[in-house]
Amino acid sequence: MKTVYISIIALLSLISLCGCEEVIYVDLDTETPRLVVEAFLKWQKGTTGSNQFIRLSTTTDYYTNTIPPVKGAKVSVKNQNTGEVFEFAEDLTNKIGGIYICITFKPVIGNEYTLTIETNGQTYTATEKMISVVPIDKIVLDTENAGINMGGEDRSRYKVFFTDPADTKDVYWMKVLTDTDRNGVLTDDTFFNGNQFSIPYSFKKDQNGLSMDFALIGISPSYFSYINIIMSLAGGRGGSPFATPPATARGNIVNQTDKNNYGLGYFSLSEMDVKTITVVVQPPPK
Amino acid sequence: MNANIIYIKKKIYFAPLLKNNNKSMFINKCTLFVALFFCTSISIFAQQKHTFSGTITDQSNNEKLIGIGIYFPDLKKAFNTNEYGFFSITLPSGDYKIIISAGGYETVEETISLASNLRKDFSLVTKQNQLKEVVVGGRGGRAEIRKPEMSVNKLTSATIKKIPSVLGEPDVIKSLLLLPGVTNAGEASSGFNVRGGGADQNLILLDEATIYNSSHLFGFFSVFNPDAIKDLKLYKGGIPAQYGGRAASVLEIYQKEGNSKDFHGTGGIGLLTSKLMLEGPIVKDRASFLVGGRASYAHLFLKLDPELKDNSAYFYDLNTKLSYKLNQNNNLYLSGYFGRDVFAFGTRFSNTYGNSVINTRWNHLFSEKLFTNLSLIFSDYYYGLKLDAVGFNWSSGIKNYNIKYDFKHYLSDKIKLNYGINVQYYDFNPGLIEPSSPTSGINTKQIDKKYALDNAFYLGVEQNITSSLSVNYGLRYSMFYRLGQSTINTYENNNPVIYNPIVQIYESAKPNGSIIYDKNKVIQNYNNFEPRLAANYRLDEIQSVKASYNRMTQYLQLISNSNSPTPLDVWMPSDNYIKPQIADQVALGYARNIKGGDYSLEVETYYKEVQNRLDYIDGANLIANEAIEQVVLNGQMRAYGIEFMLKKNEGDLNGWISYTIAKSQQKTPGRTPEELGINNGEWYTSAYDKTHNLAITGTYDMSKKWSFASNFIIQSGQPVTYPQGQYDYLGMITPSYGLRNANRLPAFHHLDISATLTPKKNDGRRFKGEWVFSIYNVYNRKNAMSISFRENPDTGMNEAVKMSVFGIIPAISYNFKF
Repeated sequence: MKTVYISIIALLSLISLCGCEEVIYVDLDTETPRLVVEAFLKWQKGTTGSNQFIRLSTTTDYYTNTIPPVKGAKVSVKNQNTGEVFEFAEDLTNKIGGIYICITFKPVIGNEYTLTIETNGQTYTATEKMISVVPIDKIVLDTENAGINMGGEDRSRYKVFFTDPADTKDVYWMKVLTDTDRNGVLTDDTFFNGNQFSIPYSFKKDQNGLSMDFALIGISPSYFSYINIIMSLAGGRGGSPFATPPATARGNIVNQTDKNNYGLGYFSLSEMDVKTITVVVQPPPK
Repeated sequence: MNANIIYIKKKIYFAPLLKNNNKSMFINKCTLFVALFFCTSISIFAQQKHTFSGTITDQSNNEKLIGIGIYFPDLKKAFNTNEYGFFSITLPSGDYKIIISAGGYETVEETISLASNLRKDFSLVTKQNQLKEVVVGGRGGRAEIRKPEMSVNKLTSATIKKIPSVLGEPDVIKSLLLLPGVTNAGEASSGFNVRGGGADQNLILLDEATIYNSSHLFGFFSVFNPDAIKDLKLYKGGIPAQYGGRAASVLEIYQKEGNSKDFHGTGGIGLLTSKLMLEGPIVKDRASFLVGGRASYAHLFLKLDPELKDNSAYFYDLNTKLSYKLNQNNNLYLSGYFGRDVFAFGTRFSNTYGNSVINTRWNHLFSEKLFTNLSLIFSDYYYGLKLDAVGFNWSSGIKNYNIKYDFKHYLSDKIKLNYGINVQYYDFNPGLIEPSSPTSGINTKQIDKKYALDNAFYLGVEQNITSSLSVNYGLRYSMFYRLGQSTINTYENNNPVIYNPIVQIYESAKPNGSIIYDKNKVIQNYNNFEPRLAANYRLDEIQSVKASYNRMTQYLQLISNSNSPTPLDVWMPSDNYIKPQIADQVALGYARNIKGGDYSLEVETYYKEVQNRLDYIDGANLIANEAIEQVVLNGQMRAYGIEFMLKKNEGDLNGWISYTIAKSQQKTPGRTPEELGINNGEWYTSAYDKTHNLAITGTYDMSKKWSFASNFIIQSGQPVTYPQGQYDYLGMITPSYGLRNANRLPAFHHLDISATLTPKKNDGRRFKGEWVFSIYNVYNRKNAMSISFRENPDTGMNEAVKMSVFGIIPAISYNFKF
């Protein structure tokens, strides 16, 4: 389970504290750029879900701090059940570029969609179903653990409750949309199938009084394993004796023109439920 | 009875040819097998030959001495004591001069008269003019040029204690890293790698009981208390038939029996740990006890910090042994080990793990030629985790019930048999999840427990074919049964991992059904013949060439895809999807004693192949995975190299230089031409590959008061994978990796020194103390434990971060004996 794993990593990091870190320069080879597709279409409960965007970029030298956008591509999404095609037009108002938008998208739970991208004389496709999610029951302050000292900082922990449907295998991504530095929590229902379950999430003192949007997002099992790999790669744990061999995170983007010049990223469609609360971070109990 | 008669006839018929005809030798060998099965108790050369047998012990404490040679100068032959200090030699009647010479002890020279069977026990007396503690020279000293034994390293407890170590805590596993062909994943990483093998491929035996996790505190220390240990033996190749179950090596660690003469204690106070070992007679000269404990207390310093005061991180272990000599022919031993590591962050998180082992052994002499040992062993590895935040408790582990009956049959001065039977039952708990409180939303879940039965028969023959050529050949027949109760998934085409040709990745298959097996029903079984062969050809009195071959089958798999094992890793048995690892190794060697054994040189080269080495598909989630078969593929492994070891065995200055040049690779090709395989199906450098590995270690006894020791190690960096680029996905800056293990960390090296002060006032006093001053990593080399890549949170720029664990570490510890 992911949480166990995260805790182990936390534990290992604590032990690592006795060691020392040093920023060094390592000469790295750079591969030829690949297309990166960020197509995470989310349909918030209670909205039409008609506004969607897709972002295209490429891989680049590890040490630069700009991500090259892909401009001038032809992007469309087709509902395979209805045959309806939604064109995504390049947003020319965006300064960085590489953003493609659609304002007429029609999300349908369980329908299968195909993404098609034409760029640089190559055609990329990806197919995925739209996944549903149960609503958030409630978000409550975990009173027993309010104002606890974790990692040298006062934190308050909230619990996000939801009720898992018993007859399906469900996968969740709980992300606080307004807490942009953190990726949130991924979990499947292996250990709580059919139960009401809560995911803990804590806030730092300097987040006291901020309004936070909690999102519960339903995702597919294959997207779960993809995002799992991405999170561990982006988490920067490479090279330690406990690290697993870094994997190439292959998503569902297929290059129909040249198979070996595969694209990175993922095309996925999810329903999500969003609830907003104002965070209270208490001082530690005396 | 018929068989006996036939046998004796053959014996008479071939007797005149025995000495000079190789062909008859072969037939003789066959008759011996017949003899073994039909008339084990018949004395083969009964007419004019007699048996000289006994034990060799240390006079001061009655500890049995292992591997001590009894030399017959007239015959130019030496016979060694076994791991229980027993020897047996059958020779024609007559008078023989014998010499028992072992470093640190007064040499025994006497003449024995063999007119009938002779039982004689020897107690060796410690040399009076020794500067320092006895280092028993029977093991760990000269190169073995007579016995068909190769790829074996021996270390005594005294040697291990002299090697400078981190924080002054002598460490069994870390001292192995100074030997040729042995490496690990770097500082503060657990386990060790032998000849390019994985840490899971080592069989670690403490008084014959299997230890599943050899490290405390994630690898900072090993689980063995050096005070409670007599010595150890590491088999890297040419592994005798009595051992099986792991693909790369066998590490045998022998605990002390306990002093049956007088009550004594040994202890030490260090910066991080303290230890105390007590031993003494229960019944003088017959029964003894040993109890040793060790605990770390670094976590007490955490209490001083108000922010960390609720946290703890400590370990402890306990070694116990009871030995009882019933009579000359019967000895009983009861050994136990219990160790635990404990981590806790307040009440929110706690983590406990460790080994427990209990072993009862009965040594029995059926006759002066037949030494037997019956062991009943229980071994347990437990891992527990409590996570309050999520509201669950997790536990996993492995229990092993083991019966060994081992026979050492000293047929003649030329032939020694070792045969026996080993039955093991395994109970694996891959994980039990329970809610930690009634309000927790967690369901209780037991991941299907797994059971297995592992039986083996073995026969090994150690034979002196001519005065120069000796061989040890044998066969182990292992039978492994994966047993119910269990539910086994079934898959379309019997294939739990499917290849997605569109996006070129491996994916878990969905089961299309399942089969429920009842308790003790056989789910899958494997049988394997494991031939073993080692030969030694003595070129002259000082040098020999050696060759060996062994096949080892490993039925247990450690489910781990990290470079070095973590305590959370789960063992599982082979089943219908996961096949046993089969290793074949050939090795050639040369050994030479220089200046009468003052120096010795050993050179060996090996080539090893392992079939069915597990490899994990990209992004495999192994924790609490109920269907491991869906994320693994059966790959292969190969390793080869050359090892050199030059030792100085005698004098005030001694030590060794070892150098290894080696390669270790892994490959998991596609199962069909369409599939890419892992890493494009190409051979890739395994995580255990260290091209160069040089270690120098030495001790110098300057005076009665001062002695010094030093190590220097330099080896190639750990294979790692560096990114070839980066990309942004949902705001997560993700490194893009190329082929596996294509890069390496910087070279790893450090120099360590220690000085031991033995104050003068110890003389003639029962209580003896010594101070050990040590410096680990003298020149403060910041060896990279890892190089990771991250986005700097302040600048937003990507950077490479080297993490190192130990800089220069001075330490002081005080050791005492009484």
